[in-house]
Amino acid sequence: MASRTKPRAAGGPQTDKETQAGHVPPLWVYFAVFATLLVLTGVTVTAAYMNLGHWAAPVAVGIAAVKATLVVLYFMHVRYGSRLIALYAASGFLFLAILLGITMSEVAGRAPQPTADPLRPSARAPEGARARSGEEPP
Amino acid sequence: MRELDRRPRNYLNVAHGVRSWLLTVDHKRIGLLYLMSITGAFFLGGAFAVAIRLELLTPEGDLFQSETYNKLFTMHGIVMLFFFLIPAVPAVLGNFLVPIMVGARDMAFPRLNLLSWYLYLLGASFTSWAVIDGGVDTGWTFYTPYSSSFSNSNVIATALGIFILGFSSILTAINIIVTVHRMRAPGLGWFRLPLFVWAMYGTSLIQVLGTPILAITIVLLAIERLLRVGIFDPAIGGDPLLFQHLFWFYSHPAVYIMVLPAMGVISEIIATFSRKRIFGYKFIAGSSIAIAVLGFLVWGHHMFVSGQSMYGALVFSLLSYLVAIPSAIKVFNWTATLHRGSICFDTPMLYALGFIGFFLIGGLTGLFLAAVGLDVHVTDTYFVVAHFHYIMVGGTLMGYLGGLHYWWPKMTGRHYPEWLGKFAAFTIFVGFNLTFFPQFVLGYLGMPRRYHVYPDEFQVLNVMSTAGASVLGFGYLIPMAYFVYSLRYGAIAEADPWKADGLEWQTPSPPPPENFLEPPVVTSGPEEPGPASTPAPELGGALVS
Amino acid sequence: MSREAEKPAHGGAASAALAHHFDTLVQQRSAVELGMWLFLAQEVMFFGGLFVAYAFYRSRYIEAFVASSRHLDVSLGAVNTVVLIGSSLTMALAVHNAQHGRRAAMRNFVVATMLLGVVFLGIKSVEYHHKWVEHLIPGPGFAFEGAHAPGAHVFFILYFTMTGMHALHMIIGEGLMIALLVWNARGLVSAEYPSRAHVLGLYWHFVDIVWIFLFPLLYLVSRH
Repeated sequence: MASRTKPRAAGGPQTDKETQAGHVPPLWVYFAVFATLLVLTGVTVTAAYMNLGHWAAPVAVGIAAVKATLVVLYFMHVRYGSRLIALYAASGFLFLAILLGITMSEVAGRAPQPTADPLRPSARAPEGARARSGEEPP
Repeated sequence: MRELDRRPRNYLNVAHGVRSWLLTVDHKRIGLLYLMSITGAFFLGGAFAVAIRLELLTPEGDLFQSETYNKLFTMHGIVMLFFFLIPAVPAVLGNFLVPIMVGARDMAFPRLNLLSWYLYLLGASFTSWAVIDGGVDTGWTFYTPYSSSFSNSNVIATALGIFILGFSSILTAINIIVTVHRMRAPGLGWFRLPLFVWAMYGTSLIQVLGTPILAITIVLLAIERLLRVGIFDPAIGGDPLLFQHLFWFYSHPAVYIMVLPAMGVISEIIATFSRKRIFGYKFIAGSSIAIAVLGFLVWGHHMFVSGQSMYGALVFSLLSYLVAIPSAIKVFNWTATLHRGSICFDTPMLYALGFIGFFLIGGLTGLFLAAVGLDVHVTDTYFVVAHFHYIMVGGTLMGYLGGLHYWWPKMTGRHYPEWLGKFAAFTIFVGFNLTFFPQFVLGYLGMPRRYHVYPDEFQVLNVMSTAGASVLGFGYLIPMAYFVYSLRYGAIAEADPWKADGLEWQTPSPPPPENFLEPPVVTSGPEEPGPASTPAPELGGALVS
Repeated sequence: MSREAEKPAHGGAASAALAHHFDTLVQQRSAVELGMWLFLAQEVMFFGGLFVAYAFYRSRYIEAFVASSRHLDVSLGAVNTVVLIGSSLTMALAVHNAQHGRRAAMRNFVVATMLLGVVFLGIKSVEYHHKWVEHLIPGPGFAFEGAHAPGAHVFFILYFTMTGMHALHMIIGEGLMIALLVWNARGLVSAEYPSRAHVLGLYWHFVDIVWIFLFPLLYLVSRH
């Protein structure tokens, strides 16, 4: 590659949108987010006392995800920053989702296995599989 | 190094004494510190390899007891993988070159860089202590419940060493990513970056996102071992497959941490020694990112016979075929670069050409293993051992040696003796293939890995393999000797001995402490029209345009 | 060298903060912020491994998880959640003041954050003590009545590992806050270079986010 010498351009070539512009959220935003987080905490506690069946876990995680998103966007200023920061902020969760998703789908695809929990001798058995009740734990 | 003092001010002669090295924050010196450390690790891992190959000369287990043999292959794997291969290209060549290649004065976080090296030493100390204190015998894969409930060896000390090393790896990667994003010279857009930088960027993504899973897996393993509680032990309610999922989620991308930087080296060398622009720059750059991302999706191909669901096996098999595509894209583009190029067979080019051939074999045999039906027969045999040694030794180590030769004049200001370089490369190639090709046959015939007792009919191939290892070991000693020799007696190197492109060739050899005499401004990249190489400017103390 | 001409016109804290390898403070701030985000990405994966283990065993031992979760005190957990969210508010206000150069206000909010963090850790200690008394510490002394004992053992391993790892990060956070107070006292935090406060704030918020997920998954498995 060709290059020529020249004093480096002032300001640096790569800076984050937020630091360049100096954007910070107005003060009231912090209090509004705080209040919302408190409300959502109350909601998640209340939901735990309701009979949601299979939906209990998704609801709990969903509410937590909303709270976490509020913290990331407003307390951590991602809403006011660059796309690069937003991408890296999301990247950990994205790859975690990959690990979680593929591992749990592998587990879900297994045949029923004996567990050490005697009150659940056969996990969700697919149609036609033999029940293994009464089998000793390994 | 009095002759060095007579040379212009550079990063080697700007300060003297042990303290100036142990407390340096100069990325170039830190790269050399890593070079010395990982060479030590290579000797240790190599010593274990010697012991293994000696034992395997005969079908009986007559040199070592089985328990000892378990420790030998375990420690060979751990030392070579974690303390040599993972840091080799990133921490030595990456540290030295990435800031220069982007036109910066140093890495984004120089003190963090030094901390990374000290963490490497700390981790190596724990693992070395474990070696001295009787070793560890679980296999480098630490499978539970053996490692957590039954092994009587130094599992936790070794695992702690690896845990600490993981953070060394993560900090280096953070440094590289931030340096590439925030410290590029004016005019250096993303598509003017050297392909080595793209490869290092992809590698750093893997290190940041994958290594912490290994760390937490080690924490859980230690808890199970210390408290005797059932996280992974089925007898007390745990599941060993959870360990394998977590372990391989890191350890498969780890192999891309090892090979991707070497691929970056090859991209640089192939272009220079074909005296052509690299073919398919954007495809090679994109394939580095694709390998980094896709490499996270395939870990279950290490678990085909573990008891995972058939559904999982099918998904992982398909994804493993997909991840071969970006690697193949690189090989095609390198080949297209060679086509109608003006090939110079200097030592770096020999290693690069060797890489392409050996990586091809290693990669294709990886596809054999990705087919579930075939994998069932050859898993845990020497076929797998041969496959990964073709990639790691035939691939990564060749890339590392090629890069070391290519950038040696830049790093040290000295030339190594070229004829010896060629001789060593040929010796290494012969030794390497004689060592590992018979292992493909052995594996296919059914010889299991991690056993030191085998049926008599396998002896001939094992003897060939050990003979190859002797040649290979001798071959490795040659560059070690002449590199040291060159520091004092090698020919003085100019700024651009290979007539190559790239910012690193436009600064003196060795570079000044701040990398450039004047901050560079970039006006073209590897894929833009113009002469493939810029004539090296006259150097009298300042670069002139 | 041309670098001299580009340093901020006013001297003092701002130019003292500029490291030799950066050209401008804006570039340095930008780099430091990106570096912390990368560190947090790997922290997400680090804690994430524990969440994967949790999901894995919750699917296998759901009744045991329900029974075990009922041994945790929802009130203390909820109070702790409010405390930690409050500490995130005070931390955000601290960073806000740092970015406007108001060093005294920043100091006060950092101290408030630290106090709330100490309250959190105190309540956690009380909870751990309860578990000790109830013989629910994993290991040889673990005793859980009923048939769910193996699953409950796994639950409590995960409970202590996850909350313990979280608490460790909180303690480290407290140490980092002390460092921030020292830096502030030395004038190393300013409107031109608020990065030390900013990135430590990012760390603190991250620790809060971990708890936001831990609370419902550990304390609220099912209470109906």
